[in-house]
Amino acid sequence: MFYYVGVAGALMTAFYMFRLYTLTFLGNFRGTQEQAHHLHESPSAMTIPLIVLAVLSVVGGFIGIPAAFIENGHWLEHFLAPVFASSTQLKAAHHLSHQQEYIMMGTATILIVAVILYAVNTYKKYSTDQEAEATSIGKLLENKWYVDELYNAVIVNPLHVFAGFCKNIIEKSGVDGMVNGVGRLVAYSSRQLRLVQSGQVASYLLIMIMAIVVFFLIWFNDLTIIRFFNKIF
Amino acid sequence: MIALLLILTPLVAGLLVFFLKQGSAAKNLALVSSIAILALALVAVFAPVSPVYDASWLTNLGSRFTLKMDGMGKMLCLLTAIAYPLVFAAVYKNEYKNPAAFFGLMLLTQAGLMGVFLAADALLFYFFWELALIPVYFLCSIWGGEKRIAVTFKFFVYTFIGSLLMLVGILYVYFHTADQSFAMESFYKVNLSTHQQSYIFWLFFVAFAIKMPIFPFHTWQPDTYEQSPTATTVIMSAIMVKMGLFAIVRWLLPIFPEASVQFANVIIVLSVIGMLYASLIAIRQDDLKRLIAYSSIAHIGLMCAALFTHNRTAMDGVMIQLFNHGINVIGLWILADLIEQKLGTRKLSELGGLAQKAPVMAILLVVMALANVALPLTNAFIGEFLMFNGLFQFNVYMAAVAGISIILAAVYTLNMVQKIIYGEVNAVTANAVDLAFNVKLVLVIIALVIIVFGVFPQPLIDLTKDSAAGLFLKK
Amino acid sequence: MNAIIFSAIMGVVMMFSGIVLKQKSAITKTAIAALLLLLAANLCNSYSVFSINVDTHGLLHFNKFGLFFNTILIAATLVFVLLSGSDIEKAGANVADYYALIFFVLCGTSILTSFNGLLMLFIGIEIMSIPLYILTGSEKRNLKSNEASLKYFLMGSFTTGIMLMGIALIYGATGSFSIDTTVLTPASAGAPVPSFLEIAGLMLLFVSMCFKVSAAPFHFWTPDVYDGAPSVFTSFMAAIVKVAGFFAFVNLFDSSANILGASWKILVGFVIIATLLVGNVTAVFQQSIKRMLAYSSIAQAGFMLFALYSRNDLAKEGILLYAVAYCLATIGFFAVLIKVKDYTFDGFNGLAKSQPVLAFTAVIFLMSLAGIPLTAGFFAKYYMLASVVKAGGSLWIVLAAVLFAAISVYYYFKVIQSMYFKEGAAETSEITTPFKVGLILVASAVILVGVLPSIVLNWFYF
Repeated sequence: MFYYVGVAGALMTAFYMFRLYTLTFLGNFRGTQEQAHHLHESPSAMTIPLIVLAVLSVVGGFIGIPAAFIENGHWLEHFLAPVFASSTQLKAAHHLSHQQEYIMMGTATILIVAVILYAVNTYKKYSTDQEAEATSIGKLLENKWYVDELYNAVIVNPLHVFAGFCKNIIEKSGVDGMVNGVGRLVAYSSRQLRLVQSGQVASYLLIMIMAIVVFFLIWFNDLTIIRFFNKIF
Repeated sequence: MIALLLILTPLVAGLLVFFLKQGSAAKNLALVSSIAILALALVAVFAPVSPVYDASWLTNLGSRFTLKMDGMGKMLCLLTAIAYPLVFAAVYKNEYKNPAAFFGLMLLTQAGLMGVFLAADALLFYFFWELALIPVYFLCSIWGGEKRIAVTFKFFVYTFIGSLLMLVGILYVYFHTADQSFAMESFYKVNLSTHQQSYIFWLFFVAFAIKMPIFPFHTWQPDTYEQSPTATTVIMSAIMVKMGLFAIVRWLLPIFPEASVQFANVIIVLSVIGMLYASLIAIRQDDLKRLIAYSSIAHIGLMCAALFTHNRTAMDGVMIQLFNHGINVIGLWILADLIEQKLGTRKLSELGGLAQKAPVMAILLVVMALANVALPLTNAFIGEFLMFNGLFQFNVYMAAVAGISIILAAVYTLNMVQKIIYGEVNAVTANAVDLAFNVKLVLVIIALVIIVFGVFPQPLIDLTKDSAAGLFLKK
Repeated sequence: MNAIIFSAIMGVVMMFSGIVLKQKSAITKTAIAALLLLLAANLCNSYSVFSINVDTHGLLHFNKFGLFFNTILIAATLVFVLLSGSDIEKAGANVADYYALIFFVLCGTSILTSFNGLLMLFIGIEIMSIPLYILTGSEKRNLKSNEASLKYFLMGSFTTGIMLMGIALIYGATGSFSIDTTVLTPASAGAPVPSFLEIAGLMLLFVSMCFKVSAAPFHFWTPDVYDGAPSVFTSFMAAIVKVAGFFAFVNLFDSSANILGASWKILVGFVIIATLLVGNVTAVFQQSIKRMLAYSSIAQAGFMLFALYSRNDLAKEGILLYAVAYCLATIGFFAVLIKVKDYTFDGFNGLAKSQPVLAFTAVIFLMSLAGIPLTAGFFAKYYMLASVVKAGGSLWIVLAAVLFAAISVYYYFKVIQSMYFKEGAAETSEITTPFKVGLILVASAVILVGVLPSIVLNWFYF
């Protein structure tokens, strides 16, 4: 089962890599005249690493030669062995005969070559004006399964809206508003308290007399007041 | 003695610079003395010198002029000492009106900061706490942006209320010490009932929370950072906010052990809310300085939460992060200032394409930005990792929620990088030039520190071992 | 006794100096010499070098605390005359008379620092107050000054009546004017419950003293009088006279409040909160700095009232320190204010540019008033708060005071904002170099006391 999925993945990879290759290097040039004029071979700073990489990728393929071809040729087989030491114990040993391996490898290779040919053929004559309206599945693929859109709708946009809400409403009027509100309250009470200072001696004296009366009331009701305070605090 | 020198040198140098007539001389003297202070700090931290200084001061009040350097204090002194030459070098070519006063006040602030990190006497601590604030008030109000007067005033009154509450708390603890003394040892030995602790604790905590700042006491911060001259912003955001965290470790947790366990949940929840909240706002910020300010709130929130997990791992993380966050924000602020100075705007939406115009700057910005996201191999990673580890052990859900802020940090930081250095070159950025030598030097040093400590953070952990361990000895 | 006698004599001398000396500056110099003499006489008394003793039959009682306070008051007056002497000369035509009145006020304060009976308290208060009514109205052609003087006199007489009533009631209850046998009776267990007369008398006494130190809600005269009086005399009233009033207030109720028991704390707490509220909050919206200072002096009174609330040793030390810090800062700031032509906040715009020394020292004075550390004002406030925390159980009032102190930062720093952060051309009258030096010295003293308050206190304990 996993084999088929693996092969399918490999096939698709083969398809899109050669689609890319064909579209880029084969066929007619589809850019403007000016762009064509600017085309040139990459500078050596790019080509040399590319060559090295190309060589290495060919070599890399030979590092992991299955036992079917050369016994113990698989250099990478035990590379991560220490890591999987515990998990290999849990897994039942599962061996394929070399025969089965040949079949599987053969099928895969044939299929891949077929797909490559198909890809090269399909896109060789591709040109921009020929671009057809994508069919349903093509559209889905073109939009990357709509995962980005889904992601935008479920996470990004709500986050943005919420962040904006935090920034513009909660921060400005809520938290900071409270802080500034205290300042405004002081300024407001200052304006109001100022009015008591009317400049009229008579009203001053009146307030003083009232205060004296209040003092006497406080004195005679001290226990009540203490009890009241104790209740609050 | 060396501890005293660490305070005296910037104080004397600051006063000297303040009264110099010539601006360039003042600038040079300030730079030289800041380097001298760095040398002193290096000696103080790494040489085997006595970390204690003691002299009689207010004998009849039970307060002595006692300075003591513990690991955390050492590290923050070192950070302060490192920050100043970097800042002075970075702003070396900036024009200030009345530069003598500017650099003088900066150095006076340094004296206050050093004092805060060294004072081992509660009243002395309170003195330095205020001393660090007053020069900053003048720095921001005179050399700041358009709305500076109102904004700085709010900042001042806000923090002043906090300090006064702390003063009441200090007085209360003082009268409950066995020997009526403000000394740190007497404070540590004080026996307060759980009930007493549960309200005196808040008097201290509010002061520190305002300084750090912790949600919902943070609203002064973005405004102030935005309006202040960058040199001051760097000092505030790299060092002054650490005063709060430092004070929690030195003056809060040991004196109120029960209350700090009792209220750990409340504070961690507040911190975590603050982290998410600040990160969310940062996502929507278009103003570069405000973005960094909110990002800073988020980072500080994590550190505060980690402190209250009462977990050794988290504590180590905080210690490292105190230093590393300081280094990173210095870099970010210097870059932000540069962009504003060169291009005349801080709006992200108006910037773009700087990678083409100023490649060195772009690279350095990316390094700082990645450090801000706490990517592995940058210095911030190990600290954040340890803190999350501790938070996770304290409460899994809290850690999970706090973890979201990492993602958000990546969102706003990378968004910022993208908008500044990528995209099309536009009219604003067309004339951008790359970094001047002095700024380049400063930023490269910072980038090196970021990477070195990202790979090899052990020295920082060793430096602060005793502070982190000291907290757990008491129980 | 020296201070009382010498200040009375000096007052008379100053009165006649106006006939002999024609030059105004010569009169100021005489006053300075007289003040120095007075200071020396008082110091001699406090160190028991030389003192004139008159048997007062226990009506006056001299102790170290009171004598030291005398020194503070006389020294503060000296500083005041040195800084603002030239402005006293400009206040009106009869310079010699003003100095004479100032000496009479000092005579009154000297009695207030040594009274040992309600009778002497009353006499001291009146000797102190009556010259002030005249000084307030010394700008004869200024309607505002006249109005202020009249208001002050009317309300002052009203409270004098209340005070006399209180003394009479206490006398009726106990049959004595002496504090020893009346109010000083501690309420020990089994002691007779104080009679209604006694309580009512104390209450009225309390009210009248509240009026003298401008505690709310008996503060109404303060803004109007301080605003209307010539600025030099406002400075004198706000600093020296107020502090002396406080000393008497604290001494009077030092232990007598015992018989008032729990209601005392409620009563004083109420007055403190009201005073802090009215002083601080109303000051916020003032447009004139002079009027703002009047409210600020009410607010400062609120802080000084803490000494009455806690009534312990710390409070006594604190009131000393407060006296020094508050006098220095108030006199210093008023000296700057007088020089500036326009008393509004806008009038101070850009003062830092045109007069850097004035602006810088003003910042120090304002910070001291606001109670910022490293200035004398911080320790003044510190002692007041500490005394209450030490007394215990009243943390809420300390917290309230602290919040009001934060409000006070608003209006003090508004002046700093005007001077330093705003553009403008503040106009000042001519500033002489000695004046600047004097300001710098006073500012240095403020910082010195702020760093080492023990200088003042050790002197007291010596």
